[in-house]
Amino acid sequence: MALDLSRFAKAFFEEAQEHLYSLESLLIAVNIHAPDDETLNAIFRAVHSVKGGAAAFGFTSLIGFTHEFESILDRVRKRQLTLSKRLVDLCLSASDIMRRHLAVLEQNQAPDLAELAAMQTALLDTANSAPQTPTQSATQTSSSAGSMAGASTKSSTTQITGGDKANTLEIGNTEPAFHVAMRLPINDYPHEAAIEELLADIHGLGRCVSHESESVDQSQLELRFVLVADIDADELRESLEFLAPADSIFIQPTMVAAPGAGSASLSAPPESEADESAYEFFAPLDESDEATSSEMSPNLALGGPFQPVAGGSINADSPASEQSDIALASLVDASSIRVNVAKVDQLINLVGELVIAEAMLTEAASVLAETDKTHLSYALSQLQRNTRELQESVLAIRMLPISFVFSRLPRLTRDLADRLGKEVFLEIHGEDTELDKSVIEKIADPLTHLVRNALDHGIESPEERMRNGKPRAGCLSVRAGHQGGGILLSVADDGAGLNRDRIVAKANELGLQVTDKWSDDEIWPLIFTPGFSTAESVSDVSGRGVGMDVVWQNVHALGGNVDVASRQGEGTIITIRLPLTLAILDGMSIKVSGETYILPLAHISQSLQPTMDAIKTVNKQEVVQLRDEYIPITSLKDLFNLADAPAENNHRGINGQTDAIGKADNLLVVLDIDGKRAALRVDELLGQHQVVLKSIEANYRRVKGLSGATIMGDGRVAFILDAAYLVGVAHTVDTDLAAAQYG
Amino acid sequence: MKTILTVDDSPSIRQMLAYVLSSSGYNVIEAADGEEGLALAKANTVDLVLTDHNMPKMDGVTLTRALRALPAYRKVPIMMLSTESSPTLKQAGRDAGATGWMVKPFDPDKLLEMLKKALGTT
Amino acid sequence: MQSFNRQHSDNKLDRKLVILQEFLTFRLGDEEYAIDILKVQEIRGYDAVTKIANTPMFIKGVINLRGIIVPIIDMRIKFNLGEAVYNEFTVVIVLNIGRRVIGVVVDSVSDVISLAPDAISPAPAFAQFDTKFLLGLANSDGRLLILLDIERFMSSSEMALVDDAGTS
Repeated sequence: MALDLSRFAKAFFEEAQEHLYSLESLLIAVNIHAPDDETLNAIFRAVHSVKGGAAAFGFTSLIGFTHEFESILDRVRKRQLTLSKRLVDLCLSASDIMRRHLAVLEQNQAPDLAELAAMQTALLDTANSAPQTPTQSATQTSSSAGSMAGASTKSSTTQITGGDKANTLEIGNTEPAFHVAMRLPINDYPHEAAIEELLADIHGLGRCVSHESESVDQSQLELRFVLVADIDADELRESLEFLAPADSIFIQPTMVAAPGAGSASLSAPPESEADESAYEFFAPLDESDEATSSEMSPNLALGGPFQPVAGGSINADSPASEQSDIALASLVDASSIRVNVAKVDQLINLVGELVIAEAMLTEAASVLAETDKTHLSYALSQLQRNTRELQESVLAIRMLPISFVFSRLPRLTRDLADRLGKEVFLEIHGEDTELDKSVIEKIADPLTHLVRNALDHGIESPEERMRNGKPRAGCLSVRAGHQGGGILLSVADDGAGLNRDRIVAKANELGLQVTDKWSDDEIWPLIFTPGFSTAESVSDVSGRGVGMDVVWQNVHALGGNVDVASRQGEGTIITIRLPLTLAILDGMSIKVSGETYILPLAHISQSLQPTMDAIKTVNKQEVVQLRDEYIPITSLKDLFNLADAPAENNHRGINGQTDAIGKADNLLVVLDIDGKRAALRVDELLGQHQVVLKSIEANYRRVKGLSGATIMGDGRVAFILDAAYLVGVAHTVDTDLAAAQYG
Repeated sequence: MKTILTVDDSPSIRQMLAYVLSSSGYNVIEAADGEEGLALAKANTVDLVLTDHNMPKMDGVTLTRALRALPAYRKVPIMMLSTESSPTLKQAGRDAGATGWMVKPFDPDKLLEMLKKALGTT
Repeated sequence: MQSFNRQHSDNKLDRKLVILQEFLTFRLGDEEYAIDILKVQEIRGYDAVTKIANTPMFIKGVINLRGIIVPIIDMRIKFNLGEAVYNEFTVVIVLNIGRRVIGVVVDSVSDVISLAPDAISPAPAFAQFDTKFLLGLANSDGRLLILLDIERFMSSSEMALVDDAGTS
């Protein structure tokens, strides 16, 4: 039967990537000085699982490697080998190589075996030079004397063991060969000479490089040998069947080093693995212990051209390679489907249109006579609910947590800090914040660059930090969260801060007309100028003058913005503000001077209609007393220079809720941004509803005070107010507020 | 139709086994670890168990021992399918009562041949 | 009302090399302008706009064009030509500039004409236009056409339609 197993290989690759990902996270998280068993077991299991998959799918080049890797991790978890930073570093590199190797195999390309072999050697060297816990050293090396591979050490095949440094891992000239094991009636071969005679016969098929025999019971003898022969396994089998019962012959293809080459095949069998046959039955199931049935006799091996197991081959023509050649056959994981993003976007657009149509319908129904309305209202509310749910579900398809990007930061930070000789503590917040897939993809590089930059240029060396009275280890904090209907990402370090003088000097060097009179807020954005790099020495990490300008471009391409705040000696915070290009928002629609605006509900703490005496003016700034607090009042009319009188165009609220909350004099909506509050003066509250966030920046520029737009039930555009901006503006003139509070 | 219980923590290997076995007319039940395997073995009538060794929660050897303790599983063939082939581990499998040991990667034909033999339906 | 949708064949045509190029002509006051037809997405009537706070007068606001937010520029106000009235005859030319969609209000749309390069002469300095925004002048059946580099013009900082580098 020809079963095509290659279509399962894709699942293996996905699985392997997951294992490597958890391996990496665990290696970074593990406490080197006091590792706990659970973590060490999990680390071991990750590599073991990859090995299992590689073996099952016949990716022979990985088997030997993962085996050595796993052996070391096994010794670590058994506390026979002490974990060290060097070992963890090496394991991380090994994980990288495996990742690359898997990617190459998945692409069906020729893997870089030399790289793999070099790492394998490095792993072995480290394992050998690492302090061994005295209890029991290297079980790997002592467990399997007399195995087939063990026997072959006498010949030109060398093996890789945990303890033998003499083994080379270069890929020398190899020849096709077979490990053969067969059962012979003991009476026919009473002494060594008879066996030699038999081997002489076999010699006709090829070159028998080593052999050994032992009796398995009173009647049978097991003969094992390595035959170097460039023939078909089936051909060999046929020949051997003249000598021994067919079902007692076990043949495993392998590669051995050509005479004189003195090198091992890459995935030469580790001793412990090559023992006995790959397919065997133990004692028969009969409760009696008699091993009578020849079918079920001990060590009975089934023959056949197995795929190489431990004696893996690097022969490109091996069945395993053939398998990977067709490994790209389409395979769809049962729990998820791959969909073209364009199809999802089409769906999102359609649903957006549906939402608007639904709102229009609701609005049209609102003008009907009360009697007609009742017939419609149930159906309409049902439609409304279904539409919202549909919309939410559809939008959710594209949303991914930012952890997709953040997850690579611990490793990046670790490697970079090492390279730069710095000590850094990385803090990550808000990794569950969901962003649109396209935003995630486009923000990954800028964010990574900011982290690199902070490590390279921001955080000082431990010595310098100590000199300045700071803790040795710098702190790098990466955050994500929602703000003002957008996403806020920030990278903050407690490093040296930006150097104002150097930036000014560099800017002038680049021909920008910058003077010392410029404020910090004007100076800092200069670092986003193309070709700007103030690093004293160009490092291979981040200082090549490309980077910050690319960050700026990428963020702006997403309709976002980058802000810099920095203080000499204290650190730098770079904030990326991204619009939610695809999102729905719970909003409150309000009316000011005849214009309809949406306020994000998340930032409304309350609305109130204060008495005139609750409002005071402090230094021309109106404030309202709310319990013990004076809250600055901000007016859209002033801010947006809106007409005084409500405009003639007094159109109805979106879903017939014009009457909902109502119109009143002196109506204030209190906005709350992280505890900072401001009251917004509005003419009318129209109602609450979910709105589809649309980008203004897609076709226009960013507008201060607005975080986006939406389309109302009547098809018109309404702007979504940026609550953070409004609160910020109200507080820029609040210097005298404290006086009012206490006066 | 014979029912085979496959126990392996790797979904890709389970998928592959399910494909190979069901293509040959076996009914397949899948478990992701020893514990689940044991529970499924108790809940179903299984003609053969094909288990990995190194799995979370309960390993293959332990599963084998646990199954052998059940009267219903005293004679049911239990084949171990593992990347491991160290004599110590094989001995442990044998001591626990496993019927046989197969080392990954498996050639589907050989695997089926082994299973047929174990099931006595050659 | 005239209305058409075009296929965008090749936006990258170098206008200086192309033999015959098609232009859409429109009127602003007494003057007739022509723009590359490949930049035109559609022509539609004037809908109520939503005003944007603190913007120059010529930026009328934004409209909902099948789910996308499109800014509307009144060229008549920008160039102080014609009379900025809005009625059922007011025409908006919807342009594709780069990846952006922008609507411009003009007095009226005339027709589509083809011009050979030799029919285009260099533009003298105009009062209201920097010559860098002009492709030249052309004479078509006795009409004087001012060929406008609409892409360059719309992308200029003068129009303030896009964020400038460095503003935050």
